[in-house]
Amino acid sequence: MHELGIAMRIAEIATRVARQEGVTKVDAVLVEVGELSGIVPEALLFSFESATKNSFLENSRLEINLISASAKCSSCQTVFRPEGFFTLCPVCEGVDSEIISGKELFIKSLVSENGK
Amino acid sequence: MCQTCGCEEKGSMVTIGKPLHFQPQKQEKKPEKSPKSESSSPLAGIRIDSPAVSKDSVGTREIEVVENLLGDNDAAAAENRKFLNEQKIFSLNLMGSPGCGKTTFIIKTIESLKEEMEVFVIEGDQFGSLDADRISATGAKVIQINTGNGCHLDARSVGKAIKELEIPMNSLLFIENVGNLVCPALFDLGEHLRLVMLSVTEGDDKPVKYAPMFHGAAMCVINKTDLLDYVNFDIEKAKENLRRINSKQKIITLSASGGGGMQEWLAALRTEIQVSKP
Repeated sequence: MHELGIAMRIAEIATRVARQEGVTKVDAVLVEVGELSGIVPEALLFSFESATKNSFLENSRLEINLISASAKCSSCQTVFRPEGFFTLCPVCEGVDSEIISGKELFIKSLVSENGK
Repeated sequence: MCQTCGCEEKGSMVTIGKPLHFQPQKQEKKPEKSPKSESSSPLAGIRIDSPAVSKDSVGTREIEVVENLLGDNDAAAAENRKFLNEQKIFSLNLMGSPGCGKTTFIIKTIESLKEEMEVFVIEGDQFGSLDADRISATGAKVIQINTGNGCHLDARSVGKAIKELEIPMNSLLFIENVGNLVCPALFDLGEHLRLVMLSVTEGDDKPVKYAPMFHGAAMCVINKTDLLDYVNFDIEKAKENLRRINSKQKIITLSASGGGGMQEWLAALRTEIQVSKP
């Protein structure tokens, strides 16, 4: 549900930066998406195509790096991979943990393969 | 089209109503975007935990951007927070399913705090002003935001509504979000306290099924406890589920429609206001 708006935001930022940098063709837009960010990557790809149709970015591809979630147990400090938001520490079974990655949602860079 | 989440269809608009008991205000219309047609070639890719590196070919240029994709909403939320802090207005973002009892809870809170502080309300609903009308009957000043096809409130429309309400210093502001356990979780409104309501008629498994919402809320109010005898809701199970998702969350059980527990909530609210010292 949110992906179209996010795709539009990606297109907006990428277009702005490309113009600022004098890039005439953007081959790829690289984004980092955490698996707990609330974004469905496939839906974002689809939305990006729709959002860029007939625009400066029409032939640009979106490359998503999906970042796995990791959490740190507040009791025994073990870093583990949680299943969503609902996981006990695999070592001490503590419920108190802090999510240290997996909520990322940002545009990383633009790639222009001919340097222009 | 909502600029942040794109959840509205073309042509719809977010409208901020008139503050009830207040002077009329104009409608706000969000800019529209032209429709895009169906997509074709799937050129794009998804990798897992492998940050892209530029292709080795000569002449490839990678321009670093690093910009948060929820940045525009976050910036508007930060503005709201700054304004509310300056005005010493304590604000709550109340979220929960449709029908979990958010509006009744707000009304009972307003009635209980009448002698203590002035309460203002921003009501978020897709359509209509039924909730704003109910709140208005308490004498509190309320403004309705209609999101049209939108599924949540965003910081920018809340910021406009805050200005329209002209809230005096040291007041309390309730923001009742659109009834939805998914989308509102992503959008900071600039509130001091994020509160999620779970009613016993919904089931004790909701925190597990809608984990991001419950993970992000500092407080959870379990409502309609007067119905516990009639529904299949295990309150200890619900609390255990909440603790597993957010072990720091404060949990309050009550029945806003008169079954008790409101005093505990009011005490917790007073503590929150004291601690945050907006």
